[in-house]
Amino acid sequence: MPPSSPATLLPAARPPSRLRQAIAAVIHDPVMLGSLLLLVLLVALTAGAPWLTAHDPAALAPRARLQPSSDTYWLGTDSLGRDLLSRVLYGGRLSITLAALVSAIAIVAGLCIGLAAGYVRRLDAPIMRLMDGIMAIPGLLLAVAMVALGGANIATMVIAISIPEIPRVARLARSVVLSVREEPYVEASVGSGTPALKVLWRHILPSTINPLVVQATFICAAAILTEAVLGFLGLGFPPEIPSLGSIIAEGRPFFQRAPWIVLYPGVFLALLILAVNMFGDALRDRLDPRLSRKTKG
Amino acid sequence: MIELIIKRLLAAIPVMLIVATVVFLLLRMAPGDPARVIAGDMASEESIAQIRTEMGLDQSLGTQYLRWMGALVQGDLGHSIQSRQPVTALIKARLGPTFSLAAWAILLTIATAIPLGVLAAWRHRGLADRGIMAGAVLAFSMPVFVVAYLLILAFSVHLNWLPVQGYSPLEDGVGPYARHLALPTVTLAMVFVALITRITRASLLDVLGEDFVRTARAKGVTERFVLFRHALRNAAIPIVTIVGVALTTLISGVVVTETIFNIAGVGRLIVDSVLARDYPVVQGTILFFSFIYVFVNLLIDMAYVVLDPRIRY
Repeated sequence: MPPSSPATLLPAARPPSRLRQAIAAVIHDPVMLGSLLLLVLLVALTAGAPWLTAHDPAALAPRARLQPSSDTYWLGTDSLGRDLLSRVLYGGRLSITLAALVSAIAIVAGLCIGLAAGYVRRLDAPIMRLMDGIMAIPGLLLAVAMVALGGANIATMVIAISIPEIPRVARLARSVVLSVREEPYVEASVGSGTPALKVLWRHILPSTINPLVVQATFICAAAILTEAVLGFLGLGFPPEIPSLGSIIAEGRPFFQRAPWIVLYPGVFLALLILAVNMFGDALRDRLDPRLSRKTKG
Repeated sequence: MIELIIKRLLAAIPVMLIVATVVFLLLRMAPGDPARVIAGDMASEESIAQIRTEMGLDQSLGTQYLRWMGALVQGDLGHSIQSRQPVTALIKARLGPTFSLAAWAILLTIATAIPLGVLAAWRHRGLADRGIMAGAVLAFSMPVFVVAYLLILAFSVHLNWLPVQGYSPLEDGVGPYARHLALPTVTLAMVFVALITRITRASLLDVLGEDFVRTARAKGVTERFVLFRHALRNAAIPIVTIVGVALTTLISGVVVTETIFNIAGVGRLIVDSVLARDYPVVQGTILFFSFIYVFVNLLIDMAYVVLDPRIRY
C-alpha cells in the first residue's frame, strides 16, 4: 500500500487542523451553513456592485421616473429615475463597510477597557460605573445627536455608532477576566513573576476570543440597523451617497404609487440583518455553550 | 420595604449624575462646532460668535458643565433655541402620545410573548417550538420601518381599515384613539415580542429541567399548573431583567415609530430638534430618556425582591 493512501494515514493522523474543524462544523450545521452562504452572497453582490449593474447609482433619468422592474432597470427606478438595483447594492456596501469598522472599533476599545477593569482592581469600580452610565443612554439617540452635531462623515458615524456598543463588550471582557484570573495556570504564571502585560496577552486574552467573536456579529447587526435608521431619519450621509435607510426615506412620499422603492431596500436590509443574526446565533451555540443555554435549549 | 426603596433611590442618584456627565461630555466632544451648525452655512462670523456667547459656549468646559449641572439639579433642562420654551415644558406637552404608544406596546408584548414562549418551551423541539423560534428570529431582524411599511401597505392601503398616520388623543373618543394606535403599537412591539419570546422560552427550559418540576409532575399536578405556577414564576427573573435591558431598544423604536406614523410625541420631538439643530432640546430629551431607563431599572431591582424572596439588598 502506498504511504500516502488514506487507510495508512488514518490511525496515526494528527488531530484535524482548526481550519478543518471549523469547516466541518459549518457543513454539519444547516443554520450556520445557510446563514453563512446568504451572508457571502449578499457581501459578494455588494462588493461586485460596479460590475453587476449597468447604471450609475446617482445617474438621473427624469424620463424614467418611478418605473417598475424591467429589463433595463431590474428593480425599477426611484422618483428621480435612478436605478434602484445599483442604489440598493451601493447602499448595502456602505452598510457592510460601516458595520465592519464599528465592530472592530467597539471590540478593540471594549476589550482594552474590560481587560483593564478586570485585571487592575483599583480601576474596576470607576470604569464600570462609567460603562453603566453609557449603557443607560439610548444608543440610537446618542448616535443621532452626535451625527447631527458632528456632521455626517464616516468618522463621526463610526464613532457615534461604536460608543453605545463599547460598554457591553467591556462587561463581557471583564467577566471573562474575572473568571480566568483565579485559574491555577494564571496564578502560577503570576506567581512565577511573569509581567502583567504578558499574563494578559498569553493567558487571559485567548479566553476572550470566542465570546467576543460572537458579540462582534451582534454588533454588526446593530450597526447595520442603526446606520439605516439614521439614513431613514435624514441624518445619515449626504443624499448623493446611497444608503439603505435614505433610499427608503426618499421612497416614502411615493409609497402608494411605487411601493418597490421602499420594499426592495427594506427586504435587502432585513435579509442582511437576518443572515448576520442567524450566523451569530449558530456561532454562539458552537463557541459558547454556556451562553447559548440562555436563549436556545 | 420602605427602607429598601429609599436605599435604592439614593443609589440611583450617582448613576444619574454619571449619565448626565457622559451626555454632556459626549455631545461636547463630538467633532464640529454647535454654534456654527446652529447658525447655518450662510452665517457670518459675528452671528456665530453671538450664538456662541448666548449659549455660553465661549466659556471653559468646566464652567459650562457646572452651570448646566446646577440648572439640571433644579430640574431645569434649558431652553429651546427655536421656540424659546423650557425644554421640560416641551417634553411634558408631548408625553401623552409617547406614553400611550409605549404602554400599549408593552402590554401587547406581555400578552403575546409570554404565552408564545411558554408554548415553545412546552413543545420543546416540536413543530410549534421551531415555528415560533423561526418567527422570532425573523421578527428580530426586521427593521422597525420595514415592518411599519408592510403593515401600512396591508392594512391602510389595500384593506383601507386603518389610518396611514396621525394620532388622536383618548379624550376625542376611544374609536379613533384605538384605530390610530393599532399599527404603531404592533410595529413597536414586534422586536420586543421576538426578544421576550426567546427569553421566556430559554428561561423556562432551564427551570423545567429542575428537580422540583419533576416532583410536581410526579405528584400528578396538572401540566398547566406546573408550567404557569411552578415554572414561569421561577423563570420570571431573567425575563424581567431583559425587559429592563431592552428598554433602550424600545426607546429607539419609539423614535422611529413616531416619525413614520407622524405622531407628535417625545420621540418625534428629538428628531425634529435634531433636524433643526435645536441643541438644548436634543440634550434634554436624551437625558429624559436616560433617566427613564435608570428609573425603570430601579423598579426592576425592586421587583426582584417581590419575585424572589431570597434576594436581599
